[in-house]
Amino acid sequence: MSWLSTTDHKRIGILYMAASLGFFCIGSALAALIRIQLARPDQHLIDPHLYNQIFTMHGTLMIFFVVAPFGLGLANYLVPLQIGAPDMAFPRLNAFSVWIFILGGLTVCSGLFAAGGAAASGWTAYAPLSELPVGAGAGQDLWIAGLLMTSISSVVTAINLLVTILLYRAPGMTMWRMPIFTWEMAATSLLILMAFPPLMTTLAILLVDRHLGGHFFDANAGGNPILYQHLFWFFGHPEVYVMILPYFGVITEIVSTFSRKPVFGYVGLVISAFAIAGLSMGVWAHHMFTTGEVSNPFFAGVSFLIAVPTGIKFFNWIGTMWKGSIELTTPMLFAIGFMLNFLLGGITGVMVASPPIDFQAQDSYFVVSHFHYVLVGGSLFAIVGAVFFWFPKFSGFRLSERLGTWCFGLLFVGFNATFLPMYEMGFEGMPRRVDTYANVGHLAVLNLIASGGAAIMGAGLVLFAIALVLAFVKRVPAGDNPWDASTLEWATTSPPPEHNFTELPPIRSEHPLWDAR
Amino acid sequence: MGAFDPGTSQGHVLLGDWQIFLWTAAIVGAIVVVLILLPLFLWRRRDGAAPARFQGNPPLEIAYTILPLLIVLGLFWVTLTRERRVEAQTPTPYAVVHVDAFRWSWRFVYPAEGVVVTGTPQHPPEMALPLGETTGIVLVSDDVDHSFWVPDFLFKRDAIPGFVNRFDLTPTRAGVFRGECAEFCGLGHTDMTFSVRVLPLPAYRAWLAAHRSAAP
Amino acid sequence: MKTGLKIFLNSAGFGIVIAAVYWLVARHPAGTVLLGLMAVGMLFIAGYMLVAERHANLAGDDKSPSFEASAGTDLGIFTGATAWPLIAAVGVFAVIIGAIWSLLFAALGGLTLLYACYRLARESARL
Repeated sequence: MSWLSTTDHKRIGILYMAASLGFFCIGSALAALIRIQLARPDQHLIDPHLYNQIFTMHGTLMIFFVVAPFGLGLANYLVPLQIGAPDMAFPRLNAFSVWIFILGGLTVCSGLFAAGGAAASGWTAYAPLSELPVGAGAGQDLWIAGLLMTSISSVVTAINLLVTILLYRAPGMTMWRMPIFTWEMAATSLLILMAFPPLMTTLAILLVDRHLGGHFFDANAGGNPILYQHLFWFFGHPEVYVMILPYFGVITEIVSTFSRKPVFGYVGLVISAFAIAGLSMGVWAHHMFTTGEVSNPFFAGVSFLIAVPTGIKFFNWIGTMWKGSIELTTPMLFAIGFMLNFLLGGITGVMVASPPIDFQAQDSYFVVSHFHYVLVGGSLFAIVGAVFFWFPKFSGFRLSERLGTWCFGLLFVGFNATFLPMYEMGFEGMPRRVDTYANVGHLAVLNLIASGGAAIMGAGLVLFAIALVLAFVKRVPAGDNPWDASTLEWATTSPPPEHNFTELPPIRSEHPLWDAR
Repeated sequence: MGAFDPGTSQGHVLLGDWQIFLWTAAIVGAIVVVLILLPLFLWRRRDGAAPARFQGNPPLEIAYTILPLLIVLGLFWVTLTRERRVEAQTPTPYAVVHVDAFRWSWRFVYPAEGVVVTGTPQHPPEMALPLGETTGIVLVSDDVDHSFWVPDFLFKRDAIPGFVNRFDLTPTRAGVFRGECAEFCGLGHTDMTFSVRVLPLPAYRAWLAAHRSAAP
Repeated sequence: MKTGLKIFLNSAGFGIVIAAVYWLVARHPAGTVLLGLMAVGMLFIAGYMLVAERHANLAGDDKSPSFEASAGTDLGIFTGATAWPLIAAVGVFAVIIGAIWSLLFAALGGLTLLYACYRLARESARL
């Protein structure tokens, strides 16, 4: 019960993370249904209307209620600890934001039980499709309402994080001594502030069109469907970086800790985070190259530029590992997996940023594979890695390293088996969001491999759940700093007391705990 | 395989872009993978490696900022020139076809020849293109966003209500090519397919004649 | 504070530059307005920091704080447990759901939200 009225940033962080892992279970079950339906060509196990709901809800849940909010939850827990603050700047606002987030998620999910079914117009809800009475049910409205709630939550949390980072640092913790994760969260928060208000506006306009007789996106009444795409992607592309910047921070902390070396190129990592955030505001219409209505050269050019700061991050991670003393623990394995997967996701990202390539890849499984390499091979690997890394701090207990290694192996093999074939499927002409496909080219065998890979991934996720449960059963004490890490969250007890610190070590660099050695 | 042997002259330009990017990606990717994995073999804690203490190297950092910048500038130039060639439209196409997308099929109209072909989700329509000649396509949508995609041409273009999209196709290979809707458009999206029959000129004229007489 | 201010000023500057470049290249009003508004938003925050917070003397900006400062003599005020944020969230939930299906429900949600805000303000004032 005390959880309902808590204002402690650590409990709120855990609520955030637990809720997003809960939504992750639903989203994963939906993904399994997709892979079962697509395992064989010309299969009709799931009827098309239900299938449309399944992939719409899968995308919506994973993006708005898993990958993005998990990062915010992690930040809620870690940022005050990393900068030596007793709590967030606005603890009660913080509690509000986690509750409105959970209510928003439940609202979206409730569509699955509504008459007529859940929203079925894709996670992008392109108008005018999303303005038609699909299934004649409440699904699309519940979708809009839930997204409005989670948007409010994101903006409130972003403001809270920014104020905390700017004003609540411990004596000696200047901004240029903050851990990279905290820096990445500052950039993420800035991005949320810039990107989410346009989303809320767009959702409100959709509601006006649907219920108050507006025709903003209705071409037959002089409205403009392209405008919807502009507004949506002006939010949508920054959102992609809201889903990856926190995890760049996670990877940086893990790589530095298990190489026993301070990060290489600290300033470069900070500047590249803000460079990515800034550039990502100017690339939205690379999702619209095939509309023939946007300035393809502008958006291709800015999109290519993002490769530069992203490359800086890669080289800085490599520089951090260089001549280190590397220990391949579970979090480090996930960090390596992240780098390898994200590399492929990033490189194919540069490819689809070229309109001539996009003319084939857009809305095909090539793009599906590209963004799953970024958000699953990248962000999700970082999420699991982060849980293995910080779980001892959250709970005071250790997770099994043996289960962790197996979990990583299954996820890495399963992930690549699922998504690598999709590049070829897309190139051969399989569009996304189809409920079945003809047996042409290599589509049958490629899809079968993908579905098999998904089963292996499922096994890896089950192992992850078992590892979490076993940790609470076995209760192996972790100690304050089990990994010999360098940042302030490891200077207090595990789990930390209500107001985090009884005493702080002197802070003279971005790795105060290693200075004290 | 189809997409590796594009069916149009525009498709050959597009395939060239794919090849340049794939080779660049393969080389850059291979180098970075080696750099990521190398430290794992060279400096392991269990082998008693003691961590070095360096934290940065400005010349090196500047180098790995400039080098990727040069690479993407090169790729940008490739993109610009290739896209211009693909999107170039001749003022004097051999034929003009109006393509009309609707939920959930297509209508192909040859205004000069008086031919109209309308499909249904159960009976996808067929359009004919003359081999070796340039056909101008005029693409519109009746209801929601759709996308006209022929994978073997390596090209798609969205059909958006209220907007007219124009592009040229110059087939270089006879045959029947699979076409589909690439932009999700609701319940019948999967069934919104069509086929493109590329015919030598005499056969193309015969096709037109046959479909003209069939039209009401 | 100076670093924080720089972040917002640079973001605003970047927003102005990219909005201008976008207008020159694309001549697209909607996108230019969106980018311009982003720059205005960042300028607003920077302006606020310049005006209201210029004298803020943050412990966190002190590069080598004295022993007493590091010892944490001033821990500030801690927020106790409270259920009003949860009730405020339920209020917002009701406003949004109600706006779509039932104005009465929205009104009830609005009242709940207002009352929760009032109670939160009261709690603050007590401290």
